[in-house]
Amino acid sequence: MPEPENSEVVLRAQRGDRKAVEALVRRYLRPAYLVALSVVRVPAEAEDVAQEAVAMAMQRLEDCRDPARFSGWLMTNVRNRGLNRLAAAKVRQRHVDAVLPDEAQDSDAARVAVRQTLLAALETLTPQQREVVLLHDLESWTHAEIAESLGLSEVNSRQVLSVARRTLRAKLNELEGPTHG
Amino acid sequence: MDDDRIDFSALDPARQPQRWEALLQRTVEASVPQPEAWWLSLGKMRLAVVGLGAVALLAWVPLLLDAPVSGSTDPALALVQYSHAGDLTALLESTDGY
Repeated sequence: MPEPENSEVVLRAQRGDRKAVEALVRRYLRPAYLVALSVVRVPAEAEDVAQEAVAMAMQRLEDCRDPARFSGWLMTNVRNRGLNRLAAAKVRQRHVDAVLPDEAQDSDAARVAVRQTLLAALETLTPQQREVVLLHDLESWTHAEIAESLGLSEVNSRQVLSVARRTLRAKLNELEGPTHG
Repeated sequence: MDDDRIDFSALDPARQPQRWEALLQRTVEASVPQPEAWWLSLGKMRLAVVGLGAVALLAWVPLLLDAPVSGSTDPALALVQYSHAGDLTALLESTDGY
């Protein structure tokens, strides 16, 4: 996220520099995936949403008027695309069996079980709580970065994280015993 | 590091590096506008092409109306005939005496 040279990379990408576009995609696809996962809650769908939203945003980079706020602009695009996907009700149909084809590629049964438990526990959170906890704990974004992405204050981001973790731990303990946290 | 972190590594999409790299590559390709084929560009400019054709046609009509009357000789042909056979009369007729 907002590394010192981020605005410069965005400006270069806006001028059509392919390497700059690739650098932005590499930097932001994973956080975009996590934001999409927070909304649609199905990994396979989240991949589709993240890929489509990032590609679309890159092709409309001129719409990002403030390169310093690129991450917030991009994540808003991802969030909206995820919400549109949900509204189209495609996710609900795939929700039941979506895990299976995705998990089929993962040979580690224990990891699959952990993954399903985590997804089930995340269901207890609000989309905003999911986004904050995933970006912070998996993507290692700072509260400043998360605040910019979600339009929150940093204090608010910390509070959301705290509540989200507490809720998640309670659910994880309920699902599989007191092994988490 | 934050000790309170929850371990979400099982949800990390990059845990399958080859699959993740393929997704990255597809996204990069979809992010960079591909150069357009020339015939597609021409297709988009079809209105302009038709307009230019119409202008060219209209500009040509007066020339058709001012075309030499039948019987006149093509000056180029007359010049060739003169160079081969010395037919000065045909050459003079083709230039209307100029």
